[in-house]
Amino acid sequence: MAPVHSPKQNLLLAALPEDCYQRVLPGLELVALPLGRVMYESGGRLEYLYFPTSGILSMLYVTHNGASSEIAITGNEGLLGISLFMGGESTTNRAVVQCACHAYRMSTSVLKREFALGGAFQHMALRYTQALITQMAQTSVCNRHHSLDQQLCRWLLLSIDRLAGADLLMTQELIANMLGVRREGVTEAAGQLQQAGLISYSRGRIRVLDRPGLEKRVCECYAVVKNEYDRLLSKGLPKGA
Amino acid sequence: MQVELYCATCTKPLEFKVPELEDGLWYTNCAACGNGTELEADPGSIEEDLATFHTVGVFHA
Repeated sequence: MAPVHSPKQNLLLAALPEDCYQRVLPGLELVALPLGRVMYESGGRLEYLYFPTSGILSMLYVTHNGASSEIAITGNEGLLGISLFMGGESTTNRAVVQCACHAYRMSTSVLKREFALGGAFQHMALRYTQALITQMAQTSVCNRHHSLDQQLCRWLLLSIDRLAGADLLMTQELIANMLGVRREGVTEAAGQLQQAGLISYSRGRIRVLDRPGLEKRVCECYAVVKNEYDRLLSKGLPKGA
Repeated sequence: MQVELYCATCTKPLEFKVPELEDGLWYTNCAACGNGTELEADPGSIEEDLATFHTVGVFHA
């Protein structure tokens, strides 16, 4: 049976009142987002707002010397492109597709028309933005104060919350880039999680074996972000929330 | 821009706008023979409006 795509696979769109949803529906276009696709570069002008229906989009910052660090991720619980309705039009970070997915994209003209109405769409967009700010802030705190082991647990939990299964297709090199650390550190931390029976890692595929175990091991940062997303997006919850 | 692709099984032109995704693999089903053809994304540039794909072979679910 052919897969069925619907904008309501994105939880923000699904939470819109039906009249609002029907108004934006003609302006939504299904697109494929392959792994590694650059959605926008630092300072680049965005053309569309994206509502993922699966997968993970990663926002990260690349320093002048080439080091990078992930600022936040979004999946089907959110959207990509807040600068389009916040008024800035561009942003200093970069966004890439971390896990391949589909998304619905909305043109800036449709977005601005709907946002200007001041109704449910605007409320949804602003509440999501507040949730995103929380994630960014907590990521900053976590990276500064918590161990790499805890950071890896947080990253794994936030990632699988946004995926259909418990598998992540990801190399340790990529994880190191996301966390802004050396690959050797990720290898060691991942090895410890594997030894503890919490994950298995083979040929670029990480499988979470013991989610409760990861939740016990992670710092408070995961719960802070998860609880804030729950509070702000009560109808648009990530999986596992 | 997406170039025309051909079914890995029957070589008829593939008609698709957006490929499907399963377990990290892109594919599309042939309207003529029903079999799946695995696709891989082209190493595109950010300037391209939409991702484009090339064929890899028969898709095995």
